[in-house]
Amino acid sequence: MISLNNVTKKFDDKTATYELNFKINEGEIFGLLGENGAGKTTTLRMLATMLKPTSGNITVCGFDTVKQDSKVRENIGIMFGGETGLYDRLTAKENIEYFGMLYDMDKNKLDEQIKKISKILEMDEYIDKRVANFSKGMKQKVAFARTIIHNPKVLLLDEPTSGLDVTAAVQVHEFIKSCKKDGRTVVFSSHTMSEVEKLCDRVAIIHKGKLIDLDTLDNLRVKYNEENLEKLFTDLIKGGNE
Amino acid sequence: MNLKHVMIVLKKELKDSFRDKKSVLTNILLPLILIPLMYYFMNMGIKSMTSQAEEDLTIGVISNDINTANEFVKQNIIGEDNINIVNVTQSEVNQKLENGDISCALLFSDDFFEKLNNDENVEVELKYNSLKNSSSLGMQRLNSKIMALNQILATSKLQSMNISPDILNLITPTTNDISKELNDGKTSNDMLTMIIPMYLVIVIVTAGIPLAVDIIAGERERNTFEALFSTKADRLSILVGKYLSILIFSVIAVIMSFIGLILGIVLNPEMFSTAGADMSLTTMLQALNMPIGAMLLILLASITLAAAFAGIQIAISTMAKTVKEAQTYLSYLTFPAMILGFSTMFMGAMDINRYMSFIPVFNTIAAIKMVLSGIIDYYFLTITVVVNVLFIVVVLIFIVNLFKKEKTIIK
Repeated sequence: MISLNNVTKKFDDKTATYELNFKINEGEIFGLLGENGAGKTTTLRMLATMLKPTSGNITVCGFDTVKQDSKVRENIGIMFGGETGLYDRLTAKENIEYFGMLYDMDKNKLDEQIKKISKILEMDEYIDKRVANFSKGMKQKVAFARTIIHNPKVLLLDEPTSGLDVTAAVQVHEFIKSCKKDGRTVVFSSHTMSEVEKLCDRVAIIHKGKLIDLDTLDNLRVKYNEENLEKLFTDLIKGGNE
Repeated sequence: MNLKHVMIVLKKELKDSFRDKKSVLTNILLPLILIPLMYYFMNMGIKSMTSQAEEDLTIGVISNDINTANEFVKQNIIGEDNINIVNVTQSEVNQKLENGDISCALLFSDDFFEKLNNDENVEVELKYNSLKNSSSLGMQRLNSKIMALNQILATSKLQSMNISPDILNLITPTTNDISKELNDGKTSNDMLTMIIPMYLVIVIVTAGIPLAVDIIAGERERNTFEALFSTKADRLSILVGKYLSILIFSVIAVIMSFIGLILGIVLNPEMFSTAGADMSLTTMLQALNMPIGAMLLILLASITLAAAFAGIQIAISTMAKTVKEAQTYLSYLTFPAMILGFSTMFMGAMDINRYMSFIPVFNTIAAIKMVLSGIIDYYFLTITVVVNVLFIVVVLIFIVNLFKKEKTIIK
């Protein structure tokens, strides 16, 4: 589904990612784990075609992120940060509609899809109200709806629970799980071990732009002979520093 | 670029911006109300000054021979005018001027009447307080009365010597303004040509600023850019949609300001008439009654200038790191517009040279000024539009490249 081949990204003299090589399978929840500044967001932005790799290439759903960026964008939905990035003066429906139209969705199909998602996410009560006065949880739901309105095969979520309270974070987790049930591939970045443990099929540990290891959590535990995931993570990071 | 995506972005941005009460109030409704209101209060101020100049005046007279002085002032200076006299001493005159008990004071020297009787030159001191408007007005009123007395005294003296008083005015200049003949019988309205071009250009340059801040720097700060750039719409379509929304918003703001300006003038014509200009609706309609070609070129020049500045506003908002930074940088845009605007303010329409049509911003102000003065120079107007279009092209190339850069879009 997603393939990164020797992907390096440089900003002036700073290397954000260094020769990343890995594949993400269809329908899996894939975690990018690393400290702040490890290169997780840069990797997700490259997957989302917002940044071009300095060298190497990436394919998403068989499309090259540089040469076929529009095709890639058709197949992805993104949600960056805990902040939902909505337009406050538009209603929830208008926010979702705007993005649906920019994905070239047919008006009737778009209306139908909004109704369907609104029902699933229990947004019917406030779908026609302006976003400005929504609670964080309500905004989060609107952002989910906007992310999946065009029925993308791949979801890219950058620290989706950052800044959220427990209830809102649980909603995000439920949303990610439901995406897997729908057969979508989810790539999400996090630095919270418990979140990764709860959701991920496989995890890539990134440190200073380099891939330290990639496997299922069970395999990593066996490989490093360490049950405590947090300790495992910090040990790996230390190793990466040496 | 996908036109459908451009239209989606444009429609959304316009809907969003017209729901922003603050920017609609500041850029669209306030000019409609504030400009007529501003002129109304200015007019009230002028009226109050005029009535002050005509109302009762109290002056002080200081002299050793106070009875003679009072009589002289009453008979020769005041006449039938509503001016009251109070006697004051040298020591109290400053205090009375400061308190406003008297508007001004006439100080006669000890030998004033003796010298005057001997036909010698005499001086009378006119004391006033320039910090008080009523005092300055009183001084001017009294001064003109003394000048008139001078003329009467000189005339009577010449007549007593059997010399015609005409000798005082051997050369009488008469003025003859040929602008009307040069301008196909149209009169130019100085106030109109001075105010409208500069005001319109300042609005053109600044009206789109709130929107530019909100939809570029604001969008980046709210983290909506990333979601937007992950849609099927390419960056150029997003940019053009946003650009057009700023342009449309600016044009609407300019139209509203123009209506406000005209309303302000029409509702307060006396204010401009005081300054010597005929600002009646008829005169203004006459000034606006221009050939359709010239009107279209003026409109085109204004829109193209607004288009260039919409681009500059986007560029500045894109380069700024935060909303606050964008607001600060964009506020500086007012200065070049004001400097160029003021440079044409006191320039006659016929002083404008053709080479000036090559100077962006200045050319548009000058073109509006010329057309409002009845000077239709199609060469100047065409060059102005062409220069503005080139200005747009340069600005657009710059912002398109700016939008392609990863660093400027994603912080």
